[in-house]
Amino acid sequence: MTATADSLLLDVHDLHVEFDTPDGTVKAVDGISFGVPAGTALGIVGESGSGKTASALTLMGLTRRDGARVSGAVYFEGRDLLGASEHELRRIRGDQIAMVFQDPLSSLHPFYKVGAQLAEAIHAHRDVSREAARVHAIELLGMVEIPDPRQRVDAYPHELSGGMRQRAMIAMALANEPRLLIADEPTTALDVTVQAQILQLIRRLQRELGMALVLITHDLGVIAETVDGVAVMYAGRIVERGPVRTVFHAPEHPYTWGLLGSIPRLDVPRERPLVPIAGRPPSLIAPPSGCSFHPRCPYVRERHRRVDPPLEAVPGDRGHAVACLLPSDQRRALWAELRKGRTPAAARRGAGVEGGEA
Amino acid sequence: MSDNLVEVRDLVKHFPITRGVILQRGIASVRAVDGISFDVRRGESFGIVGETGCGKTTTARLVMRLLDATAGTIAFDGTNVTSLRGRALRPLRREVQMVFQDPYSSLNPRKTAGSIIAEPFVIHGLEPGARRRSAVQALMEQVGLNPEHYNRLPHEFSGGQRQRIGIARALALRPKLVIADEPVSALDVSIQAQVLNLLRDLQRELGLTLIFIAHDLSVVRYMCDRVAVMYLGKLVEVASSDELFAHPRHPYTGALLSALPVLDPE
Repeated sequence: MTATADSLLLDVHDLHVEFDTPDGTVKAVDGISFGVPAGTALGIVGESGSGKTASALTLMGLTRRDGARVSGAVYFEGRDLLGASEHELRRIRGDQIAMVFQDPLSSLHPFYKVGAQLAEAIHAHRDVSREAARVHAIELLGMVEIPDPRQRVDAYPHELSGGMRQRAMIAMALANEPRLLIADEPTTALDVTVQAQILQLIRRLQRELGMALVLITHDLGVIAETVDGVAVMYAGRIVERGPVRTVFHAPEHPYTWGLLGSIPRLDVPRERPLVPIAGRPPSLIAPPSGCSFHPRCPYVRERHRRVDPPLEAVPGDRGHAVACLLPSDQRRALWAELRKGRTPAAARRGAGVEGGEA
Repeated sequence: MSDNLVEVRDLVKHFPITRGVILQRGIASVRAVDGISFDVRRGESFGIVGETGCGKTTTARLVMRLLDATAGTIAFDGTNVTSLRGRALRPLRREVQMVFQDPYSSLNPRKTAGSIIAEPFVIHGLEPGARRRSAVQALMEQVGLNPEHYNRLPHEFSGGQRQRIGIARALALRPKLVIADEPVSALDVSIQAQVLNLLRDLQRELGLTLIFIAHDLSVVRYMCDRVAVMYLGKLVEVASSDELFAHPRHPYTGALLSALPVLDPE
């Protein structure tokens, strides 16, 4: 995350995505910036409606037809993706940037054999013979650890299990050796044992092929196991960003604390109650004033209702950025209390932090 | 009175696979539940955990008597209910209630929250007249809904609130047993914790017996006193939560545990 701008493979700057709906304008993505150095893995975590999928689709130019209003800048290897023509984008998509979606059944065409669909992905960007494409398809199926690739290349999607289909989707995404893979909830539809295999596969391929990865998920566990850096999204913004170890061991945003406190974990006593986040995610049509998390934040103060916090580096750690108006020393004191399993009210008392008049 | 509210013995459910349209010939069968036995003690929270297709939902439906068992017996509160039919099932229908997975499809979109929660009273002819509304509002209060939202329609509630409506409906008749089938897997993380805490508190306060079905081991550990691990229609391990998570005995339990993503990037 300390890489300079020109060494970034993907550089997203102040990206906004808005959709017009009969109820008003939805600000799905409200000014996010992040960079992905070549060969690294970034996780984007957030709940439904936080804007994580809208961001990813926009990077690929896939929100253009939905009448989305997009502003900001997205550079891939120095090329401007937002200003690129549809023709240019089509050459990049599936070739240098590939995407894996959540539901492997609806992403594969049910009428065509897996091998034919893989060959199509190859032919779209490479001028090779049919035989060569078929040989390459078999290699790809082997690379994603599908047993018997010579037979499976002639299978239809319905003849494969969910995990096998997701492997086939990954094979298709990797067909042209992309420099960046965007995986949007790639394991959400799968069972845990299969999920573990697919994550391991993605991680291995990412390292072996030196590919960059943007992994989008709602599951903090998936993030913890797979990526180098994390961006936590809330209401269309990035509220915390940093190396994965920092975000899990020393998070500084109350929303990140809330997410970590909401998940039952095997390494704490059963009797310790979960600490849910109060309320529910805000409307993206009429977002709250000031800090968008203030209506749910247990540490809110009057000023937070008016002032919109920028994403700023944490003092002493340039790689870790947080959008929160609380002073960093108070945030650290609060987290030290919360990680012992205290409730937000007890943590406030323990850390000697006033507030909570919400 | 026995300590066990539910006693299941050698329960089997096979679904036939048929070929042909008019003369359907059975060519094989799916052994969804393949000879399982377990007891659910009064007042405990009993978890059934397993992956897609392991038979956990079929088990719940058999205990609910929404499906007929192929073989085996189910005793509820000391009565063999395996082959009860029609009117004889009515007491069971009152005493066993279910909370479903999907709070979007399990509530009638044209009915108000109040009338959804009141439906069990209507069906069983309870709480007549003005008492019905106050009973419903008390239930809404109990599950953390605003009683003033009595006349709102399901689409006006969020996913977490809809699940609370489903829980209020399940509690209306003060059932002896509540079966919750993946009650939080359709909800966002921050909302999941709210609903889990609500269910855990209600179960303890009301002394409810709960059968909690889920695919997520950490959720089951949080919610349940005892856990049964199901795999391919069979129970491979039944143990107390503390025991199961500290010392899994069956290799499949171990595999499930090690597949679970850990919230620690080490």
